[in-house]
Amino acid sequence: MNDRRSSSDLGSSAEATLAAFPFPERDWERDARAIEARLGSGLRGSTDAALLAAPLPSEADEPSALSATATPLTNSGVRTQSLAELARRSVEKKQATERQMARESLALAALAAQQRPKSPPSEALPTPANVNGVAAASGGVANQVAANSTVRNNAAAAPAKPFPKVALALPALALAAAALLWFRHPTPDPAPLVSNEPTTATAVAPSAPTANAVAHNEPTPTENAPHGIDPNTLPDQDTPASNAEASKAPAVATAVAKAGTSKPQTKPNQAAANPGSDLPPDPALRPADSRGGELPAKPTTGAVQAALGSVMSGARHCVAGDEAPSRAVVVFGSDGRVQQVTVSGAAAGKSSASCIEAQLSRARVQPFAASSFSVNATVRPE
Amino acid sequence: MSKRTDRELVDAAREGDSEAFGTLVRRHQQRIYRLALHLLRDAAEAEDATQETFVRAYGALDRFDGRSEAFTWIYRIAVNLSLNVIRARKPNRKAVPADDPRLEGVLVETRAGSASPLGDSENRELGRVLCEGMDALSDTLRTTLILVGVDGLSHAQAGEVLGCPEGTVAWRVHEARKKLKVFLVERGFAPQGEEGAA
Repeated sequence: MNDRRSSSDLGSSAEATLAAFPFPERDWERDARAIEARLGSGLRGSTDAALLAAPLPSEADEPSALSATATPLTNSGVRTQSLAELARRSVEKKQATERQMARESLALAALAAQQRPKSPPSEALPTPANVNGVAAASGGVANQVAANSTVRNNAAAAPAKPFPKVALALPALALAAAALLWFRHPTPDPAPLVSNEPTTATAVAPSAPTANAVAHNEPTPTENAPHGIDPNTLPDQDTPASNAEASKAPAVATAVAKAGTSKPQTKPNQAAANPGSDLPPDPALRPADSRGGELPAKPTTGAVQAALGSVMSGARHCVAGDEAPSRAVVVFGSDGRVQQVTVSGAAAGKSSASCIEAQLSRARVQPFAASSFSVNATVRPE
Repeated sequence: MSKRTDRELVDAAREGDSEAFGTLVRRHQQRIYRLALHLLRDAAEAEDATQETFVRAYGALDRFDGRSEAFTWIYRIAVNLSLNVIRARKPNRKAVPADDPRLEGVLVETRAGSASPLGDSENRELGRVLCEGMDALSDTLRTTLILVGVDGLSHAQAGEVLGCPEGTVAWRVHEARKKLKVFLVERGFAPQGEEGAA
């Protein structure tokens, strides 16, 4: 984090210079009259459409994910959909995929739990027909795993007889488990839409892991089992079936844990007893990154720019009509909220100063370790 | 009388109110000129580009549908015109003139005793190196940095001007700053202490 900050900070003098290049001295009225003199009636509609198009090519090393989200422009140069809409769609799509995968995986995990060796195999194991019935209902990614499970069932319990109660209970159990997972699914953190690090922007929509990919991971049932299911009820690693196939049920549980929760280290019992109790009460106080609450010493330049940029438009409205720019010192507290705004320059002492204070006070950055952080901002008239 | 918004001025100009467009010109010409000056580094070319920007904007008023801010729409025309000038002259001219008009503005401001940070010779030198560093950037990075860093547009507004997402603007600004910092350090302007962390 500090590396990122230091990689783009120019230093206070250079930053101040960059932000305070003055308007050159000119006879602006003469220039305006010269422009007015050129405005003839025949000009209307004569402007080349190319001048209204997006002006610049992408950088050679510009992240493609950022460029790929560029939205089409109308003739007037307006994006037809916002970045927020794209992010929202991406998150919704991801959540839907994860929920679907969780449902399918839980159905299979519940099936596997019914196959514990405590009961006689002929009673405990459902028939392949039952397994296939549930798997068919699940569909999608689960089909591959269900097929494997069917093969194992065929090998381990060839003489199995029909067990309709289990078949009836399985969908109910799966639905209950899915509902539990659904309600425990944390609301996605309000990830910043704008960041000065490209990877954070592309991380909004990571591709959902497929069951096949996850199944190759080494399963750790006690840590990764889905909440609400006792890992002990899952099949042992040394069941008569082959070890490779026997590991698929915990692997499914791993997929569920990864898809259904953002905190895989949480113990299942603790999480079930106190859902969400390990989260800070206020989402704004939650660290923006997912690296375990290690706060940066200070907010990054990009974060501060983004925070101030999001409220600067409102602040500019406050000084509309002023000739000279106003300056403000914005002090952020360690919780990322604005503690104090001090206005100087043209707006100082006027009612527009309190307006600027109110607008800039809406800025938010991620929490940081230092007690406070101040930054200078220039509010130029519209 | 309350001040008319850009949108109202555009609507009035569309109806043939040339005075309304004149108001729009006076409201935004300084920023457009400064933008063109930083892009073109030539006062005469910047003046021409500014005039041309408003003339072309007037010619395209019927195509402004009001879903973006008028000034970002005008900015886009200014950027396009400036880039056209740069592309036309690239084979012949790359060096920055000795009397860089951007620095001239800085010196005028300093002599007037304003709050400009360039209060001494070292800072004036910093301004010169800063301009050189910006000139060394690609057109894409330089234009984005000028819009955000110099002119103070938000990422969203710069995205409207450049026709790209806010995330792309943020990435470009970060890249531009990173390269600018390397340029400054190589010339002995190591970043000083961070701003006022308590």
